[in-house]
Amino acid sequence: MFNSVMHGLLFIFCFLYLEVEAATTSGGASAYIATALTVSTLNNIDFGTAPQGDPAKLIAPTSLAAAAFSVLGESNMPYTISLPAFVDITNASGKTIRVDTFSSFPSGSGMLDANGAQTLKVGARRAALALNQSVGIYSGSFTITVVY
Amino acid sequence: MVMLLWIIGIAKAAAVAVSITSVSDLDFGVGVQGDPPKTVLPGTSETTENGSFLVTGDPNKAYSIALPNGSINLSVTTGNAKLKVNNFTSFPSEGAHGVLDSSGKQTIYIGATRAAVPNTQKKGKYIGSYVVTVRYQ
Repeated sequence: MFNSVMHGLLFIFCFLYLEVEAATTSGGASAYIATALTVSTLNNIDFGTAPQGDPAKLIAPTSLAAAAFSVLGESNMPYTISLPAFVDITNASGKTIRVDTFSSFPSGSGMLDANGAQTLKVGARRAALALNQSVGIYSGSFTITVVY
Repeated sequence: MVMLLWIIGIAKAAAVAVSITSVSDLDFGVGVQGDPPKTVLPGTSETTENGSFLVTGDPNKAYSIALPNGSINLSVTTGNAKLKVNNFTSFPSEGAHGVLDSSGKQTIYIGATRAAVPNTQKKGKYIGSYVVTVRYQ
């Protein structure tokens, strides 16, 4: 009698033990599908007119001479901004001037407003001009990238 | 003989049950209509995107990990649209590759692939859940 009771207890014990050899749970997963981001140019960076031998000229992103872009997308959504390291602008004779030190306002990342819009401004530095710098109009283009 | 089994029974029952709890959710971030599939890798540590779970149990005990076999659906929070997620992967990898540390713990990391986003996909936040099972070896 005692033995069969013990067998019964043992069986229950082992059964309970086996029940806890595995465990299951669920984890959450999420994604967000947003209105595509677009960027269009409102105005270009303009370094103005300068003589040969002029020192480097820095245009702050907040200045009127800075480039301006319209960024459109999902309302109230943050996005990140990538700027080029440098570009070379060229005149009709094929001579170049280095433009670097790009900076933007907002800097690094932006935030679209309730209408899904933000104006992004970009400044840069024009290199110093050589005393024998080829005269003429220099122009070029640069690429900015915005991603959510 | 009965007493011996009884002692074994007590010894085994004293072992710690394996348990698993969710630590962080799998997050595919922001996509736009027309996006290609996006894969989040499990990695080997916590990131802003991977999912993670804490497994606890007996110190130094080996265990296996089972992930969803097929796909799960994420559902948009307002409406009926769905977005498929499949190719679940983990670190340690699925199968008998988990080993609890000397404190009886291990964190496992989960990755998966969000399907391509059709041009007509409804915009908004999509949420869902997936099941992970761990079992002592």
